Amino acid sequence: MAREVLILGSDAAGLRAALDLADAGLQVHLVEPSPFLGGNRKTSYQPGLRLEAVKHPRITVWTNTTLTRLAGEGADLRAEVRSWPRFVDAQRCTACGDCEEVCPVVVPGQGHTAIHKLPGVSVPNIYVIDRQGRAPCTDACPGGIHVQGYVALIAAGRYREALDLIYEAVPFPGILGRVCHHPCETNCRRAEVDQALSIRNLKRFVADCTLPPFHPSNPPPFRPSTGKHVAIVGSGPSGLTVAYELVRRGHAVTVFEALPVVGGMMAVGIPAYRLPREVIRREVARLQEMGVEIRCNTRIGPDGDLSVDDLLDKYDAVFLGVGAHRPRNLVIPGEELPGVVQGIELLRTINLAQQLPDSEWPERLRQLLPPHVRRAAVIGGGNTAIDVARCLLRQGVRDVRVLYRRSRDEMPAIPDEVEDAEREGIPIEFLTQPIRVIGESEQVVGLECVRMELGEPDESGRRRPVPIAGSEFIVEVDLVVPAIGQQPDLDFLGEALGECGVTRQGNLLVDPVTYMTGKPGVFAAGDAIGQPWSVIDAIGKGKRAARAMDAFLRGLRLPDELAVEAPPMPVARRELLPEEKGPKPRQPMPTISPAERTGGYAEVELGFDEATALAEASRCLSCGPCAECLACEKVCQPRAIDHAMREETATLDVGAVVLVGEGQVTGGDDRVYHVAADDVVGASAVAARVMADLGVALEVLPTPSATRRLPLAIRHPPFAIRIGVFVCKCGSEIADVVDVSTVVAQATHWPGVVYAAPLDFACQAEGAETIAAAVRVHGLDGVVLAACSCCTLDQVCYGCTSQRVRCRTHLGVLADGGQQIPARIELVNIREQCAWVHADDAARATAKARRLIAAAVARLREPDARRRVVEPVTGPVLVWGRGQAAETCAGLLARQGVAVIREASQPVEARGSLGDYTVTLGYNDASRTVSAAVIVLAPASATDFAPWERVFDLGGLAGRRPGLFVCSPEQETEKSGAAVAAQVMALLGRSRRGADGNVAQVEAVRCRACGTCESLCEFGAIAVRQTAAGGWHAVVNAAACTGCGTCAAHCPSGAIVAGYSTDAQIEAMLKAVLSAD
Amino acid sequence: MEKTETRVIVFTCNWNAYSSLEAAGVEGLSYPAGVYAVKVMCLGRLHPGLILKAFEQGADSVLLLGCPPGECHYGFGNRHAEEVFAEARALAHLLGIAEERLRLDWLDVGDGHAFVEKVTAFIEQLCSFQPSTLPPSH
Repeated sequence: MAREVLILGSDAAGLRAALDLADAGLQVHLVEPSPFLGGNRKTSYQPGLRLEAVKHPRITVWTNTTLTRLAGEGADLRAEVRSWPRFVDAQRCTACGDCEEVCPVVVPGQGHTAIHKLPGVSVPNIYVIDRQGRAPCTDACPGGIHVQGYVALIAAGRYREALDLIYEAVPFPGILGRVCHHPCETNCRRAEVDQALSIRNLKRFVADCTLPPFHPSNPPPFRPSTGKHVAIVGSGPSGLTVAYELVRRGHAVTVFEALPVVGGMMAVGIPAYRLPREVIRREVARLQEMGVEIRCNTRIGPDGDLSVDDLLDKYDAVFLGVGAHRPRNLVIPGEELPGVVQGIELLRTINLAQQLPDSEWPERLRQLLPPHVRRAAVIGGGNTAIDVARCLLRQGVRDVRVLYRRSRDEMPAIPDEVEDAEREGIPIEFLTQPIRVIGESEQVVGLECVRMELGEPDESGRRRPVPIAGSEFIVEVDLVVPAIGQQPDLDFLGEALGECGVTRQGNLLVDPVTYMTGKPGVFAAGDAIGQPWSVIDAIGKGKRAARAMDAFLRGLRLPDELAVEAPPMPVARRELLPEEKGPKPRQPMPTISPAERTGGYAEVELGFDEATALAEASRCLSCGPCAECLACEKVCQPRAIDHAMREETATLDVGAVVLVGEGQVTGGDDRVYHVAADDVVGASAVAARVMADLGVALEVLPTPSATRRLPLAIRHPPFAIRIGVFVCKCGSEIADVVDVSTVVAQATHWPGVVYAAPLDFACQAEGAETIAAAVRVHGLDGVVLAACSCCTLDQVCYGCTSQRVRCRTHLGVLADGGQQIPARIELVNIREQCAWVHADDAARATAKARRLIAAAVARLREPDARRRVVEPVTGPVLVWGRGQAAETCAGLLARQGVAVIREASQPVEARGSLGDYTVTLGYNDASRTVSAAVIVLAPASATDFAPWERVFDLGGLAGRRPGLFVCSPEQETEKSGAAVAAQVMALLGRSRRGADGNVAQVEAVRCRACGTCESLCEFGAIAVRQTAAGGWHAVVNAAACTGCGTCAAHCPSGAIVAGYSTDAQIEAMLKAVLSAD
Repeated sequence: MEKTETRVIVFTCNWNAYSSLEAAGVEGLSYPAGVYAVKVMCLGRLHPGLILKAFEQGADSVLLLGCPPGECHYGFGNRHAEEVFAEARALAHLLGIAEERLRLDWLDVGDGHAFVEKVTAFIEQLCSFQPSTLPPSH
């Protein structure tokens, strides 16, 4: 039979039911769908009770959690719950708010930042990131760039941070900002409203706008050198990405490039009007500055400078990023004619001739593209085809056309580029397939083509083009340029090719996870391992290969020992709000005129200016809504942010489910109890029924303190006590104002202080560990911790926070266990009392902190008043009254094995308090005296209640007097009776926990039995009694004492200490804070 | 004894008064740094001896801050505090301490602004008074 109860909803009623059930001895799971108890719903309920729920050892609080399934029957239910992560570690967050200040995202419709907490002191007082998933743009990026993140940072005008964020993922912001095929934009949800964001151009904006100086503010983090050295073959995007990743991980890298220029296809495939060489040069230069060595004109292979096996001998690993530079042939007659030139070869020659005017490349270009060429047909629909067509135009070929065998929709080329080509005057003939090159005397004169139509979809999902019979026609051209695809040229591998392995398509065969070829230590990625061919894909695969190579270089066995990556978040698909759907058109990219373009290789696109970039970035819908810009992570001093948190599920065995507020639960049958969200009386009533239905007997909370007295200072003469002083910096919340190091240095000179040290965060486990270690090492008897906590009592007051409870839990000063530090502990709040109120006067704030800490030390030197007294409350419950309320209450209590006395006669006299009430009742003409631990009054009317007011002299204290409950006659009787039954059970369970450390204590030898205390205490918690030895003195009922200390203030002989501090301690504190220095 | 600032002892109860003191901190409100809070669970814990002790140790003034009448966390503590305050003021008068240097006041829960207002006003009205006539105890 499960002793556990699931409560769904943490409104007032949920909290009440949870606390009643937990106090009575059941384990409670309090499930709240929002990140904060009570959500952001308006409630007048004390926030203190929320914190009590968090602090309660028998309540497990599940925020951001929903019930997904409820199965089983009777009291054997299985509840499945799913928790969405906070992305903030509840054990580390100090609620300082630094994160909120840097968060660039305002959650649409909410008005708060993506990382947020409720205003004031929320429970838990821990930040939460509103991160519903990955933004579609970020999810689409093969390179792992946090796309929404840099867009959000740009919108906030934080360009440097935006650039840093891109650099964390990839080494080429400027290149990608120009040539990326931007899958991010394809996925952009803004397209549902108007058009996708111009994300690529925003990237280009930040990559360009920081010039000069070019370097981003934060250099990428470097790991210490590993002494390993890697050879990389090919300086294209994949090879250089691997270089970037490995250099950052501490490995030395040498890149071998066969061509005279660095950049692979970026430098010899993509034309300069799309990607100026200066952009490549500066981004490569940054890699070189990071330590990447690049050797150009160094061909690897049997007939080159070094073979792959040579590399394996000299280096610890080899990466093959050789790209796909061998063109596919048309396989049509006439292809062997000199006027048929492969597009990729033409592009390479044009690019090298431009970059190296003094080399042999200009002459080679003249051979490929003789001056007589006037008309050219480019065959293909990819970026190579479009690039080469536009280059031919710039080389002076007047008539350039592109022939593509499918339709526009199937073209793999970037649509913007296709449009630009058409604007420059290049016609694209769709559904056209060449079938024969026509030559005359070794010269191309024409190209015979056939028209196509689209048939059934092929394996690529695109509709297969089928020739239309009889549609053949001839295009008159001087030059035919096939650009229908490439594959890697792997001849350089020689004999090693077999060891590495090749796919059917002629690509290098690699393990899909480790990117290692069949030859151990040889890895490959990029175009060399096949499609898709794009810079960003090559970078993405390069990153994954680098990760595996790093593991390999560190001696891990692949693939088994390669760390499993956190599963990606699902894509966020939140509902767009009406106000988000207003059109904000995409900012057009300014370009140079078509006439200016064809005259040379000047960059066509001019880039966004700042105003355009800001306007464009502000179109972002914040899909995440968290942008994953990681700004919070960078500023979080307690290192509480954890973006790797993932959704979790749990199965709970429960005996009952309490559903708070509206809503439905499927399953559970009669073990699902309902209560309205703000009906606290109803919540107690439900708690009583749950207790009774589960048939669990009262269980007392564990009382570790029963056997443990708080250590007293009396065992030492005043100055022999060894005190340690710890001053929390609270990150910089305290340390920015209070000069912590000076205070620490001064503290070591005070009498009794043998050790003093600063702490970064007292409320984290490390803080308590530091204190515990110092107590052990320095033999401390007393500890003063100056932080934000105020007292060591086991209570939650109005201003208490999750952090203070956490701090006290780690220190083990709460009643219910935790780490035990064998020293007296005094807490001083120097944050709310110094740093946060005297920020304008650091010197005085420091002086005040010093005096407050000195006062705590002075307190510690005095004997202590605090002692935990554990006295179980036993005995019967008197249920007084005739009506339904009394009936229900008595019945429910009896079902749980509580002894119940039923009475309904007029009270004559009453005295005592919780645990030892004595009541005399009129019984016909006689009277009868009853002893009870607890009294429940269930009067039928106010008149019925009046005699009790008189005999107890309640004076409005009926609700406060411990152990005296009243079922209000105005309430629904059955509900009221049940509610009181739950409160009685809760009290009996809780009372045995023992009074807190501020309970009154009487020093019997000094007590004169004058009775002043007894007459003062309206709780009846102290009374003069005769002792077994026959003398008289005051005796404290620890369970009933609330620790207010009024008795101590008025005791004429000073026999009572109560209320947290002795007179001597208060006087010592006054002296310390009023001292001259 | 040379003093550089006015030092005020503010005895606060643990409930309304202390929560208002803390709220001032949470809200980042500013008040004179010479204000030193000494927290007791309830103002009922104080007796005239403790209040006068503060003057004896050199406090320029003493402010008792608790809960409003009828709203004491313990029900009856602040009623006794009023009696104790009256006694302490009478004794202070005998000792030649101007009665304006001792005040009893109350606060609502978590009212940082009221706390700052009350301590600031209390200090400002003190400027016209002489320092303590009690000799320092040491």
